[in-house]
Amino acid sequence: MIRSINVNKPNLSWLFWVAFSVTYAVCILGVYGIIMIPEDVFDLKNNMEVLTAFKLATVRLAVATFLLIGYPVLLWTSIKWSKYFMICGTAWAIAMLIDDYLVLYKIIEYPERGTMALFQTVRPAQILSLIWMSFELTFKPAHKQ
Amino acid sequence: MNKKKVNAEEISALLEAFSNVQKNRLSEFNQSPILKLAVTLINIYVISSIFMYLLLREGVLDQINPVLLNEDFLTLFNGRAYAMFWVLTAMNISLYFNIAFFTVALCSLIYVLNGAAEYFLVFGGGVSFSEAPYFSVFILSLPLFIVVMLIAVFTYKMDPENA
Repeated sequence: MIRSINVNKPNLSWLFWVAFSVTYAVCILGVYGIIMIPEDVFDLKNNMEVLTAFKLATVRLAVATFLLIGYPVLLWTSIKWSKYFMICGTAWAIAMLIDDYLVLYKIIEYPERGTMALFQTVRPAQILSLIWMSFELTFKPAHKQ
Repeated sequence: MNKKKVNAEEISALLEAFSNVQKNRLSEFNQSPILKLAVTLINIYVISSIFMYLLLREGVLDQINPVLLNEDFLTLFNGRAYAMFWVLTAMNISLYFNIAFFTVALCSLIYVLNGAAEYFLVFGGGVSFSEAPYFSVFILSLPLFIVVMLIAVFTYKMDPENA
């Protein structure tokens, strides 16, 4: 027996969709940075910190990519669960930033130039976007009556 | 000067105005014993982990593998100990005052999951039990701690009166 899925168009502000786009753009930039990193830029065989950073970034971005692919489906079907999903995503993004700059800063080392350096610079903008989306999903009735 | 006393009607109106605050403040006592046990275990685990780290750092306990006591790893453990202390504080305050405990506990769970994944990625099975017994006990008990946190998140009743 096939259950029908109730699809509702979410009634969200244009700022939400701007934040949504920024989040996806930053994630795509990170994936691009990981895939397109030139092998001769760093001495990857000897630099333990860079290797650890890339190992961490690869795992994190792989998980984030799967989550972001699934998120639009959740947003169109259940606002309640998309809200909790977004709060978890925001908490995770903040946890990663705190860990990178306050906990792991002597163990990992991100490149100082190139796409990954740009990705590091725009991470706060992504967190700001995630926080905005979490607040909007929590405090604004999001479905057209 | 006219000193008007507050009458019974005004007193009851005042009490009614603050009744919601009082109900919210007291509702943690209506939570299930499983949640109370889970929160107690979380407190014991985090405090004992921080205490163990401090004993290792100050050299009271012997750590066989000296690599774990080099400056880089000490920075990691130090940062994690501080972060877990504030996570625990936020969870306890939000539960005591019954303000957004579900969200705070969910965020704490995400932080712990992220931390556990980082430990496994950074150390990646490079430390044996005989070389670092205290650290191994901490790492091996992390999944149990995550399960207890999951129990705390999902047994919390947002509105205990109507649960």
